[in-house]
Amino acid sequence: MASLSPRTRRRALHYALSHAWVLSLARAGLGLPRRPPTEGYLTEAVRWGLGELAAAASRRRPVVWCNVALPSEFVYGLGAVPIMPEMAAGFAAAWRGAPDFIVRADGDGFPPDLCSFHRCALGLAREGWLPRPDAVVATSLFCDGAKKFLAHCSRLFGVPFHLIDVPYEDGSRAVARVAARLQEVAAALQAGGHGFDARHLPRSLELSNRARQHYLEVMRLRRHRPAPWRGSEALSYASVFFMSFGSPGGVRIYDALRRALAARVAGGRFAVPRERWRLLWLHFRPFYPGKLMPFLELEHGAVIAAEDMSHLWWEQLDPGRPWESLARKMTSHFMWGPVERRLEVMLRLARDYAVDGIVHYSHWGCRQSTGAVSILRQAAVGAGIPFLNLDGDCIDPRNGREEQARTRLEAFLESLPERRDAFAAGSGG
Amino acid sequence: MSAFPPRVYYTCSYVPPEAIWAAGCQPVRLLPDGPAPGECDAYLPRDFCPFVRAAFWQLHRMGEPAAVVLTTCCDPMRRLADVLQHHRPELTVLLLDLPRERGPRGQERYAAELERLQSSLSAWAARSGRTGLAPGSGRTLAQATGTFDRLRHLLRAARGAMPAPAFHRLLRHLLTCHPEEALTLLETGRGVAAPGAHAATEAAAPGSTEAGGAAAGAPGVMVITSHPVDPHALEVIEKAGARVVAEDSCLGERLLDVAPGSRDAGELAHAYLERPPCPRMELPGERLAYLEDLACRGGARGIIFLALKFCDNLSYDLPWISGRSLPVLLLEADWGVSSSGQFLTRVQAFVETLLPE
Amino acid sequence: MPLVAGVDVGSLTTKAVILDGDRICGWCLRPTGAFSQQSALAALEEALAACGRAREDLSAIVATGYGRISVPFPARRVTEITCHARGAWAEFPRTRTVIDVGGQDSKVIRVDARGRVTDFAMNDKCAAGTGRFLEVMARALEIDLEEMARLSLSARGRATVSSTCTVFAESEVISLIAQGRPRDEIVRGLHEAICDRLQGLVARVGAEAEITMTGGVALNRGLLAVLQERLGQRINVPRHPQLQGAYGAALIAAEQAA
Repeated sequence: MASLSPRTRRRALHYALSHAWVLSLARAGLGLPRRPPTEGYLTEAVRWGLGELAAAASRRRPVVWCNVALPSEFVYGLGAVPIMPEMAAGFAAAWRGAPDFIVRADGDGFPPDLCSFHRCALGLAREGWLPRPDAVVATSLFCDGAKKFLAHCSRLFGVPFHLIDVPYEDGSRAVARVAARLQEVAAALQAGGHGFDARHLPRSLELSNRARQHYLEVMRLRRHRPAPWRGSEALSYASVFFMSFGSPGGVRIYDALRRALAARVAGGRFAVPRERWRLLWLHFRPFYPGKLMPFLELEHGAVIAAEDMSHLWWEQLDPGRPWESLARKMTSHFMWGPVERRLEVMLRLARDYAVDGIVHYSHWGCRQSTGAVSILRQAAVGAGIPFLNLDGDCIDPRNGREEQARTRLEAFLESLPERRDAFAAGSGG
Repeated sequence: MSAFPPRVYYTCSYVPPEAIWAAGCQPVRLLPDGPAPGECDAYLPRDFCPFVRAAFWQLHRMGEPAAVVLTTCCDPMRRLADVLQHHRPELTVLLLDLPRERGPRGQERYAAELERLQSSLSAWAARSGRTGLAPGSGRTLAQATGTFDRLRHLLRAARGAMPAPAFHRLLRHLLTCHPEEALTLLETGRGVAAPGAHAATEAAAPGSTEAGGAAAGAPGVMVITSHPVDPHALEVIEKAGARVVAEDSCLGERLLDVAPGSRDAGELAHAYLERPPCPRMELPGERLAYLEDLACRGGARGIIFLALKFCDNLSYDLPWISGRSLPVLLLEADWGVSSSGQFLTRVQAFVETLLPE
Repeated sequence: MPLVAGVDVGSLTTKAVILDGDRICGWCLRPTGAFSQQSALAALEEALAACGRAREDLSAIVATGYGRISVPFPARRVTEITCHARGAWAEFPRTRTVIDVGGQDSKVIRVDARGRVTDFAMNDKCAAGTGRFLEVMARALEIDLEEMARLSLSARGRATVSSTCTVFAESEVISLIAQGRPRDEIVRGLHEAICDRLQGLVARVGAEAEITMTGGVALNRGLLAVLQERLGQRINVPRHPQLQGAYGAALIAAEQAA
């Protein structure tokens, strides 16, 4: 950590002391009334996050580093703590520390063309900011960078690396292959010591299903007009969404969130003062603090009603058939396979959440997502939904071009009602 | 056999051309001439694999309703399959699911994919009304493999006999022409004496530094890249006074080092998955031993790491390769534009550091 | 007839247009400099002075351009995308595609028969294909922008400038000078490089005739010729392409005042 600039260290401290979630944890700990806007779900998220971090740091449970496409239920099912360094990069960005960590990765010889999620995570790994892994597990699902990055980490720490190769087409053969591979990896992890134990698997799946039920209700409540939850906040919970399913914390977080949103809808308290437009957001948001999200949602009343990255895509898991269930969760991933899967999700969400426009955030270096933009755009426009592609960077504010993005978003909003007319006129004629 | 079998384009060294040939079609390696123009931005973003963009553009502009075989090797290739299917529906796109696991499970998976490839192509050729094979004159996979085993054998011999830039110009021609024509060219030695190749062969003679050939005593370098290596880049390297003695590229060892004699899809899948690994197939650590051996066999004194921009799979190998015994020069390249003055200056400076005091 | 103003605070220049009914009665164009707020105010005052009017006479102001957020007078804020579209369409009503090359970004805008934006695309990441790019390159070649246009038109060949990044393109230009390539061929090559970028933007939204080009770069006849050749159609150039954003802003202000 010594090589980080004093400014970053100050910021980290400042973040820890001043940021809402630390405060709310302190409030919860001291029995003070909770902050009203998050009605308990933030506290639950922080309690879960710090609990997992403590278990990892104290080595009470083994630690698995993995990519966001690995079902967290698999890791919890082995009695381990999942650490997704890509999500940790999001936290580093949130307290403006990302550039320093990225500079560290650049110093190791990683070219700036690579995704800043991974470069920042590499810096975090090199600086010892993350609990040391006992094993690294990656899936081959989308994002090539993630698996190469994780393989690199396994070499850095001298721990085993396991790759779960997922066939491109979904189907029973693919499920059987992935299930067999998951079992193989679980066996290898258990044989390697550190206390991995697959007997937690049925409970992990059962907990995941309970969280899933709550989350389905969250998704249903979010269809309400006006929207009860801001999408910018929902995207900030990406780490919870990818890492908490399969843990008791996941159930508590989504139960609290469900109750909070139900109360908001019942009490007429909504996400933005005046909802003028509803948007569907594709891919992640910039995680560093900035004006873009408040500008969009609060200033202009363009609420992000739904996001593809935080929609629930998998079926109920079967605790009696854990390997097949987890395999199915992977092979059916909406970001894997032909782009039709993603198109279907985009159009379904756009319809279900009655959006006026779709924004694709093209994160620098994310080939798997940006490569499909021309197709997504064509499908959206074909369905009469205005589409904006916004270039930016989720992690590195130096590459974020906030002013440009603001202008583009504003111009997009200026054209929204008009585009609707244009479509109506076109389809009528 | 029809004199003009339907042409099937393919992009990846893991696609066995013998499987295409056995299906009665002519395999044509897709090697775009230059970078994609700005108009390509309408289909694929600018910060994207320049090879995939260039490949898209060539297929996009193609008049014939061709078939294209791609693999799921990387994110840009998977998106290329999507973009072609959506924006060029008249093309027949076959996407082979290329496994990463190389044991029996990976081979079984890939063998099934190769069988699917053959049957789809046969059906396509029949549908297109240009059946490559006359009834009753079927070509077995073993026969097709025999042709390509022979071709690879002759190519290896030719590679030893000529400088790298000349060999690659020849190779580019042979990979796009009819396989039997390619065999004839190599067997009669006419290929080796092709105009460009000939000049470069002469240039390699002691004391000569004409026509881009390297002088005798020039330090040997190994070139590492994830794509088909650009002959212009090799020319610049040799012009800068280095000799390319080993090559880890899609048109280097990965192309030629295939175990011969496959008789069915299972054996073919085995031969292709067990060949020298590309950066996508292997993890940096596992690839290192292979690369070090390759450099050692060729007598390389330095490594030129030719990184095509935005290639994630290759970029992650760089820190591991840089940390080893041989000095490494990183050159970032766009597809088809690597012969700028800056490029030459950098290689020259690198070569100066490799020369004995 | 209400008197209205449009103020376009761009990265390099600030423009103001005063509209009396449908007649431009005053305008001003000045460098933005380091203080965009002062520049916005000065441009507005100068344009008013040119037609002998005062700020009190204005019934509406619309501010646009990157500095629109911080103009030091009450104004409605509209993006330059909407304003350029409106301005170009007002002068050439058959315009369906607007190409605007500004100081730090370039954009291609599709408009419908009523001058409203239906889609747009903007350059990504860097200053390639913008006015700034041309300025840097002119400096490297030690010529002014007018000479650049003239040289490009007279070039018989063209140098290849492959890099689309301003910094790298500049060093490429310097290498080309060192190789002894004639300056006109280098200039032509630069124009080709920019037009390649612009063509990419055009391809993203589709080019429907007629095309109108706005922004100061539209005055560069050399670049215009290359772009017309590449797009295979004639391109309209307004009388004052640099003022088009401010003009569009003033038109929107007039609608608001009406």
